[in-house]
Amino acid sequence: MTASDAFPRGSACIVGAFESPRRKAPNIHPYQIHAEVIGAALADSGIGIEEVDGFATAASFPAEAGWQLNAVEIAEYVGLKPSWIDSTDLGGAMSLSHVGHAVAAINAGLCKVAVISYASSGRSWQLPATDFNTGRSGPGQYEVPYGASTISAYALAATRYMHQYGLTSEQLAQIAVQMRAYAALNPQAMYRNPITVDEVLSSPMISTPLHKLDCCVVSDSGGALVITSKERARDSKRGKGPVVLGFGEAASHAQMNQMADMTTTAAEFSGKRAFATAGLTPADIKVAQIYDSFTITVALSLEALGFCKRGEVGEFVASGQLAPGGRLPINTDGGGLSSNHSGRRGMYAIIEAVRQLRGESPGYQLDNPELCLVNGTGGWLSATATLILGKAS
Amino acid sequence: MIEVDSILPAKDAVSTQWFEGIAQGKLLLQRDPKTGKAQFYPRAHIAGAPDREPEWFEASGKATLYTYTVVKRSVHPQFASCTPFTLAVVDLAEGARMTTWIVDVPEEELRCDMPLKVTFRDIHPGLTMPCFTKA
Repeated sequence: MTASDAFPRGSACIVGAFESPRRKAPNIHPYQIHAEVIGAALADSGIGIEEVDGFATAASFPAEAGWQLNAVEIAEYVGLKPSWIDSTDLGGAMSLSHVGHAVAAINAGLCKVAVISYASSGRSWQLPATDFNTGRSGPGQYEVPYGASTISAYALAATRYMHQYGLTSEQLAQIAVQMRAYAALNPQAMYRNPITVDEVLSSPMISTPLHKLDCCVVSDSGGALVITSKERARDSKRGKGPVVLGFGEAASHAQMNQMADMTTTAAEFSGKRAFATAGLTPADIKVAQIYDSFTITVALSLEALGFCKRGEVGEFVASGQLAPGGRLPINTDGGGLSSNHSGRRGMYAIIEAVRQLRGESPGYQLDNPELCLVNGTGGWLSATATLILGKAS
Repeated sequence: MIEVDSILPAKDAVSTQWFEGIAQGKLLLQRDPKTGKAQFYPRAHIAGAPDREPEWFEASGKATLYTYTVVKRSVHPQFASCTPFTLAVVDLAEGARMTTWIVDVPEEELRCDMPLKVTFRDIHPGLTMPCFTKA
């Protein structure tokens, strides 16, 4: 076994999962949402809070209301007493990392039942959802004065990719249109009215070439997962929940001027490792949850993960491959573009993968899928994590 | 909402040297004395070789446009008042890449890979930064 495929494949299961139905929660502190979703995920698993000995979360974004030691403070607020704690912070990809790390920890005997949670009031909490990529000291002082924001960072990548490969704004818009079509089926989705390519293109331009409808929703919400060993899972309410088959994570850059190639992402590495650890290839995957902070995030990720060749994602999208019956339906709950994105969407993408494998998607449910890939992208294409989940066997 | 933080650089021992260059109309870069490879942003060490100190030199000011975005809307009051502005990442002739603004180039004339030259502009009250324009 090489380092790249050293992962305890199939040794742990996701036995509890819950996505908050909240989308707009004015005056609700994010920690309250942590408690709500942890309670609901544990109820979903049938495992009591007294059995929880592992906890992973991070709350460093302003709208998550965390301060120093935020994982410790949230554990205290909820009433958890963890003896294994992880607060890895990969931006929107963080919950995927927490799952991978929890599986390794459970396999190593560091904990038996791990709870992973995330909550943010990106829309309504009083703290600003900062528009900047980094602070104005250290590395950020050479970028912040120019106003490099999250949206404009993704726009920089989009401009370069379109220049190199001829991707069109219409093709990017088709991604948003398809996500909205899935959201239309999901009663909890934030926006459900169908949209057209023309409506995306005529929505206000925010940062060329990205329009308002190329960008994700901004919500208040949260989610939680319960993970335990395959052995403990057998006796849980859900039985053997989806198993974690593969995992990879990778960091690329923080400042946009340090990103070597803006036409791809670190998912080239995290995806390769996830496939290697699972013993699978992209051809095996028939449904996926691909982080969709912006339409361009989906385009770059699909290529980086190997679902289409470099430069060909525009045609892949235009030919309907993301739609029902296509090569790869993605974000079957409506994704971040239409259903839920409170700042870091990774948690919701994992939960939708779990629901697909349980046959419980609130959006578009595929017929008995065996596998679901989840890819998270954090920061400004800065870091990624990839999970491959399999149906209980 | 709590007041959003300033966007002016919080300078340190290394960046002070870079900003002093700007005050003299010079775009300073660093290079690895061992390999000659240029680096940006400035650090007290060579990225990937923390035990090696870089040396400063003046860049030619020539660059090509790697990518850009015309920012039409910003939630930050300081930048909302600047819109539209053209944020860019440029490849300096010396081999390093930096974040900047493109100035005096109409949106319809912007093209990736177009040649550029440096120009120094007061982009915020009290702050001069290197920007680039058509070569």
